[in-house]
Amino acid sequence: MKAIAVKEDNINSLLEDCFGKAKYYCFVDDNPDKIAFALNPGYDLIKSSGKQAVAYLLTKGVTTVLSRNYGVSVKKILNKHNIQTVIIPQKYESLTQILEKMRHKT
Amino acid sequence: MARPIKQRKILSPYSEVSFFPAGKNNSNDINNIIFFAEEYEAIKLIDYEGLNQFQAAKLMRISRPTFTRIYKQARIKISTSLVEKKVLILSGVNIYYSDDWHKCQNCECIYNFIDKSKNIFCPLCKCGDYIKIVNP
Repeated sequence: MKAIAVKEDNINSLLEDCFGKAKYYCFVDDNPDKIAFALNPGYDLIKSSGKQAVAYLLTKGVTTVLSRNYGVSVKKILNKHNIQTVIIPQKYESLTQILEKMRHKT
Repeated sequence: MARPIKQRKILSPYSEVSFFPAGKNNSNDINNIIFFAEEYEAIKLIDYEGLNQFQAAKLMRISRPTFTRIYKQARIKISTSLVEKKVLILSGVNIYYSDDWHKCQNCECIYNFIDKSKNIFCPLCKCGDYIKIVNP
């Protein structure tokens, strides 16, 4: 399962710049038409929000995370748990664009 | 003979390679500032992540005095760019990455690869057309 860091809990949401500070995560399985949103339990924390987020995503069975930027401590934990990290380029602004790319496999 | 410069460890690659002041878009200008990847990493670790110089130097596998020099140089370049409205061009010299990073040739996303027993494909568009990132 993949988790995408987003700003809002709807399909028109913009992508969040920092993985740990994302308010919501969008969960996508093999089928990009079936998505679910979940609140990041640590989004309002000043410190260690990323650690909380990774701990939560591990309970959800996430194997791949997508965001524009990852913090040092988050990256360490993701590597420790063998979670694949994807850096999304700036040209993708919204969740819709990402899901569209997943649908149209090359 | 001077000792060769030690390679600096960079945590993750960046997808963008330049920063332009508003209204300026000439990337071939002779006055552009070359901003090295280690300088970008130093600014990120200290000012964005909030680490101290000792912790940041340890992460980049360099000595603390070397880190201080890199950080100071980075701040000079950023301030010059802001005040004189110059373009910052990111460039990588003497660096290596902590993971095996790949850039998809189709969707341009950058990803690391965990399970080396499987074929490498992009997690976003599922294509297998990639380049291995050595330098930014």
